[in-house]
Amino acid sequence: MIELDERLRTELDLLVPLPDDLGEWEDVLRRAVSPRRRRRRALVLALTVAAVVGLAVSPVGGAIARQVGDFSAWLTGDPGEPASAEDQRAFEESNARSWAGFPEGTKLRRLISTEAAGGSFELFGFRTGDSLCLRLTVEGLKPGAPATSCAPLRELRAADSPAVVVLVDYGVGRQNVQPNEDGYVPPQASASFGVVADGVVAVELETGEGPAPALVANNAFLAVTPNPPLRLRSQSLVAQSADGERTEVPIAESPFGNSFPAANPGEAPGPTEIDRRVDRGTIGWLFRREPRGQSLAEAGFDRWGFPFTRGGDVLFARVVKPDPVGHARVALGLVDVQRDPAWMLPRPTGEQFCSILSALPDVTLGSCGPVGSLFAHKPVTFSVSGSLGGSQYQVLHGLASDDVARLEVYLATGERLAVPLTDNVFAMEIARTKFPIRLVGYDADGRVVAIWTASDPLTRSGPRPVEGEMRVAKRVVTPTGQVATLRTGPATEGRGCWELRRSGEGEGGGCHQLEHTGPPLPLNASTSGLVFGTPAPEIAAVELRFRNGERVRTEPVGGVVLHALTAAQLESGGLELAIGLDDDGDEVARQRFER
Amino acid sequence: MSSDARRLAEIERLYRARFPHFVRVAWAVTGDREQALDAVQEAFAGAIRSRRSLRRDDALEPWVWRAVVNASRDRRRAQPELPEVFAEPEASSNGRVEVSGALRLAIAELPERQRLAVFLRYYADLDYRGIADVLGIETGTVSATLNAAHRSLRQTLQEVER
Repeated sequence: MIELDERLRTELDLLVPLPDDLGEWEDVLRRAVSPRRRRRRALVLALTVAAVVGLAVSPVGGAIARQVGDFSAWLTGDPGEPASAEDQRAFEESNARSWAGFPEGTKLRRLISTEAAGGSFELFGFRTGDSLCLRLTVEGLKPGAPATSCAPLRELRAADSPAVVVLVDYGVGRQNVQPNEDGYVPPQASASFGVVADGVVAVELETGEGPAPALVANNAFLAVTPNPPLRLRSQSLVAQSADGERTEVPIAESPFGNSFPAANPGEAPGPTEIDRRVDRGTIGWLFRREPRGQSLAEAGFDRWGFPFTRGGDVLFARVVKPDPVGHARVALGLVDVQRDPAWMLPRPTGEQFCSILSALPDVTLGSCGPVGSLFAHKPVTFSVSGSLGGSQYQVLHGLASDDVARLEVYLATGERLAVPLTDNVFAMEIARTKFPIRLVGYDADGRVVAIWTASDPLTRSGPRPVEGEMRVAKRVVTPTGQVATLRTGPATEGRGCWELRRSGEGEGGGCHQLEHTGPPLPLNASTSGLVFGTPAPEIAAVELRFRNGERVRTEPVGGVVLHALTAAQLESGGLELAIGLDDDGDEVARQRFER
Repeated sequence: MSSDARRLAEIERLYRARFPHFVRVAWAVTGDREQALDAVQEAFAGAIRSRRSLRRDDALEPWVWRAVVNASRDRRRAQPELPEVFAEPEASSNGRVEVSGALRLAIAELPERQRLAVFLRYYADLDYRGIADVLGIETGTVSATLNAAHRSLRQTLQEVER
């Protein structure tokens, strides 16, 4: 019998060998929500999925969340498995180099791994403070720096949809193709990721070119699109539960170069009238030099030298956490500036007030200004900042004077949230899909003392360039060898749009507003010998007069003046005067230039 | 982690740990590799859909094996002809029927229960208890079924080598 058993085993092995196929778990998940679909190759399957997306998609709602479970796995548990010692060490080394790093002891959890476009992608997750952060590492593609992005746990606790998108359209690698006329090369892969509620078995990203299935595991999703076309942008997401329920989740589109998506329409609710006007507010404890919060050393802000010390002596500085359970920290300092700092902006010297924000992940920014300008006309200063363009969250942060007892933010979704405010400092993360927002400050008697509204800073309202219609209109070379390329094109409304790329300086751009505002001749003359500006529409030509006595007449192209000086003009002192002329050649504006 | 998520994780673990074995059995039953892959994927998808109806103490693996076998049999029945793997063998150039070909035919001619028991025994490495769970029969019946299959297959091997 034993001999037969062995013979049988051998012959049966020859008949049907053990496959070396490892399977496609994601395909199983997709089938689980779309029964009776037959397996084909992955690409075919993806196309099949594409065909059914859009059917029976439910609106986002609390009922959906109840059906598929919640985010308890992320709120109270630890999805995934511990990262390898090597991955953990790489994270810690990177974290140690970051000024706005994560707390020591932060442990990564490995969530999803996949291979695409010749690269190995690994998605990690971890909680820190009141945030959930995801970190994508990429091996084998360059550039391919890790991407880390976070979402507040508040979003998970209150989520009425089964997925929370954290980062979209993170490009890695460069395709081996010729750059387009703007110098852009599409990435070898584009990655998007986020977390999902219990019970979500499949996720698809809508990019405008059909749905792209994502990998789903450990309460997270990761979509990697190999060789995406240039400008491919995620627009929405469909999360599918095991019982077939499909829920569409909005995505805040990421910008591409100077092209920003349209701002969300409408406006946030909330008060529109100021009840009490407050001028000349202050932060009493700071100017009394009370040791609130932490010292720079205690907060670790002195590791690379406090930025404010560049060009000045720190007279007094403390680091405050606006939200005790949050990660954001703000350093407030009084600095005696003797000369212009190397990289900060304050030009005036003397005692200045500086603030610097450190928020997740790697958001580090600050500013300085004369002490007297702080709260000169408003009791609250605000800003909205972020790091990666594809991040779905922005940090709302700022300072409130002693006159402000509490802050609230009203979101476009109708939500009304208390803003953490401690020792005159506030910071909180806001989902980009929930802009525009309205921040309201109240005094101790409940009177409105400050109102500020804002759109998502990664969007643009008003005219936008018509897609694909921008063309090179003029190119000049300065005596210093800088190449400036002007591209113009039609706008969705108004007089058109422009983009200016200067070699070695990056690019800028905009669209002409329906009505010109500001001076009629707002030209800039750079030290490299470039004259640039967007004059009023009535200016048909500009006469440039140089200090060597030469005169040049130039006409705006697409509403933009772009001119390069000659070496002689530049060496003799450059531009002295610009005169704007109308269609009849009559002077309508004049602008002088200092040496 | 909720019980639902835990059950989903168990299904995924089983899939990743035993996928080749599931495919192998399905391949043997259907006679077609693509059909086998499809059957396994569908069986696991069904397991996900039905996971909430499984009791906590229900053994997952036998349940999935049953689903794989049933899905494979469905596909096999849908085919009008004998599966390719177990089709009638051709004689080799010297006129001698090769062992594998004869065995293939002998397996194809086994009663279905015996054939499935052989597949689960040799391709899935299931013990008698596991085979009994999958086929819904007593352990003793598994023993008798495999013995009967062995007799037929041994006879075939002996005839071929004679």
